[in-house]
Amino acid sequence: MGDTGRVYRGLSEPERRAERRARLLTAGLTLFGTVGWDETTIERICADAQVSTRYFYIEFADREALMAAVYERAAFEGQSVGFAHLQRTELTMAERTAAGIAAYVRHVTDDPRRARVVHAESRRVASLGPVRARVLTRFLVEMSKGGLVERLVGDPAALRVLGQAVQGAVSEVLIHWVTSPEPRPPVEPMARELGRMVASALPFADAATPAAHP
Amino acid sequence: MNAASDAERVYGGRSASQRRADRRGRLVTAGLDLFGDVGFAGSSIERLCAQATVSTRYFYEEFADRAALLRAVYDEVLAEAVRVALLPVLDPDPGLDPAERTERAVRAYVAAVTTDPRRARVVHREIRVVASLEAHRRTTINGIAVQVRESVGPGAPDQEQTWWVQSLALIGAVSEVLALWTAAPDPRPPIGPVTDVLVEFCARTLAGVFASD
Repeated sequence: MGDTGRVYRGLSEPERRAERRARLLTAGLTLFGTVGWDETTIERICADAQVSTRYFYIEFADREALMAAVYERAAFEGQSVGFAHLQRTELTMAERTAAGIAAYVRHVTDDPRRARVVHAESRRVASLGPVRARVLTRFLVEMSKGGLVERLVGDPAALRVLGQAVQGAVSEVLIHWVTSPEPRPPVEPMARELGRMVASALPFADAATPAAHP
Repeated sequence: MNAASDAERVYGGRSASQRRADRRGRLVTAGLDLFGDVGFAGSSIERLCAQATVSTRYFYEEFADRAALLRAVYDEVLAEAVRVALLPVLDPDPGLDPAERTERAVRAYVAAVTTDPRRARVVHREIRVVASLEAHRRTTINGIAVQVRESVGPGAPDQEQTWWVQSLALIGAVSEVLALWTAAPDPRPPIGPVTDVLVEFCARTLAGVFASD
């Protein structure tokens, strides 16, 4: 009987492995998001996750690999919360975008570990470039589905720069928020203003023809 | 002999204080060269000193560590770029609307840090690698945000007190785009079209600010 078929405490080996991985990701979010990248050692992560360092290295090559996974998961979760608003067909694309960005801001500030990991601590790790690029691509693909003006759809380089500008704008504001001493600036005006700014920055084809959306 | 008169002594036509200022200047230039070309991680103190033709003893007379030198280079490059960028808006032509003033400021800033791309790399990319300088970067940026507000947006309505969101968003947009531009593999894409997108981003996002009264 293979090791993967064996069952301990009612869990198969793949289940236990998935559980250990989930605990490491949670410990990563907590430690990177509260004490920060520099202060978080692998020993501390393992203690927090109650996982041995041997199992840490089965899942992740190093601390940077864990940060990449924690960052990507938190970023994707936040994006999904925002993208849900893009389905609200009763709104114009600009309105949906504003609602989506505001929802994203509420989501990552609701648990400030997310804002800190995604926008502040992940920047300490230079090797995250490709992961960051994937997160941006995901955003641009969703925006393009919503009908950006032809000029941008036909110019992927310009669209990418515009996406970087949006990413940088949201990021700098959230870095300010998450590193501000308590009480932090109120979330609602910040969420709505960022939503308004991002929606204004993206030229949607439907903005020129509002009559098409009665 | 006391320190004051030692500083007055002249070697090679220069007083000790002039020579010290020269060495500091050479170290800051070497910092821009190396941090801007190979990055902070690859620039050892030995290499910085060799580039500046300054002994390590004199390095430590001026700077506590490499981060302190990076901070000095950052301060110098950024202050100059912001000064150049704000020239067109501090002496406003009454015929210019806020969007035109913003466009001029953004174009002037981008030119100031990308004509020599090492400048953009230091102030937008390398500074973020060093955790101990993040508080300084944020303090500096908050100061610039106030200047942006005072020069670009006076008179804009701000009932919800979100001027800081607008200012930091514009600064963040410019910073992210330029950081990624410096990180692009050689040959870097031409800066002209990149600047055009940034100008449009700023104009479109600010148009709402001035229209929202």
